[in-house]
Amino acid sequence: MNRQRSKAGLFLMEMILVIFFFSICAAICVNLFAGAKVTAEKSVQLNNAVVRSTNLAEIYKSADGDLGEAAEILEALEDPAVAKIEVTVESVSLAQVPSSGSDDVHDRTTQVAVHYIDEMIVRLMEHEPGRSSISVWAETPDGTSGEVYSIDIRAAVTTAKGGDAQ
Amino acid sequence: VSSKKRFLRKNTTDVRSSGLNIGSASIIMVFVVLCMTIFSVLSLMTAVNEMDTAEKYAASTAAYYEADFRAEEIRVVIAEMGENAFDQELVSGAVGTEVALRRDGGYVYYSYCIPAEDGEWELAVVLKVDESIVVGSGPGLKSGGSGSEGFDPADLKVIKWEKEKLGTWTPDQDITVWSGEFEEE
Repeated sequence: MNRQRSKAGLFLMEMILVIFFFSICAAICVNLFAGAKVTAEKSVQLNNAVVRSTNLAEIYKSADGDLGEAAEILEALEDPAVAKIEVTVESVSLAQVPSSGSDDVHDRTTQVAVHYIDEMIVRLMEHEPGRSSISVWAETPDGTSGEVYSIDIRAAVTTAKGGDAQ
Repeated sequence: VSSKKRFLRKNTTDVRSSGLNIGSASIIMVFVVLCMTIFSVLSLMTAVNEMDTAEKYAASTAAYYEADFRAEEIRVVIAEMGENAFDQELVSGAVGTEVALRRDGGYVYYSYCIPAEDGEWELAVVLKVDESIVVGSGPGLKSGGSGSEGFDPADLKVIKWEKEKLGTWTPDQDITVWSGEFEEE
């Protein structure tokens, strides 16, 4: 009877230790899995941002730097269930646009914004005729919102003040 | 009766021992933890590698559009030069890069390269314009600011707009395996 009781006590002790070590290891592993998930989501987001900005850049270039025409092409190409295209015809102050990040002398710009269903916003902002920038804004998997990707693009249009390659 | 009792006792002990074996829980835990660790490390490594690839792709695309921006600027400057675009030295000086000019069959061909990503590749551009368009476009903006605006950059037709790898690329085809000897440090 005594032997059986000591055996049960030993088993109980072992179970306590097993549960203790298992919980520590499980916490570390769950942390690793969570880190992997966040990193994977970030890479998917970056890939999407690159593809979408490249798409918009080529549309802008094919429209010879005409924002209105670029918006029309976008509307024809994008699935309304996936993306909502918003064209701000009136000028927008660069200071009000979080994605501007430009030290341009122009303080106003017109923009085409594409709102994707996955909370990603792709903005095409014209700084002067033929010179624009594309910036992609999204909520990152770690909860912060910020610019994911940006590129400057140039269409073959003579600028008002004359192009300067330097 | 005694054999029946012995049989029952034997079976009862078997059942009891299979349920309360000391050490079996530890073995199962070690196995489960080992599996969890392997899978979590593998998934993290895959995610990190994917992120690395995505960052390289993003950097490469950004570098392409930087070169593309520069190439378009040069195209616009050539168009704005009007008749001065016939002078190779003037063109090269205005755009700040070497531009080769060739006149052939009533057309003018401009070719230039924009290096990118530390000379890893370059954007090679060849443009073509009808000579009559250049002649009729006036002296252009680059002739002291009093000239016309030159001709339309769209008249400079793109013959080549290509990303070209510089240097030779040799794929790594060998896998380093153990040679049978330990390396001396």
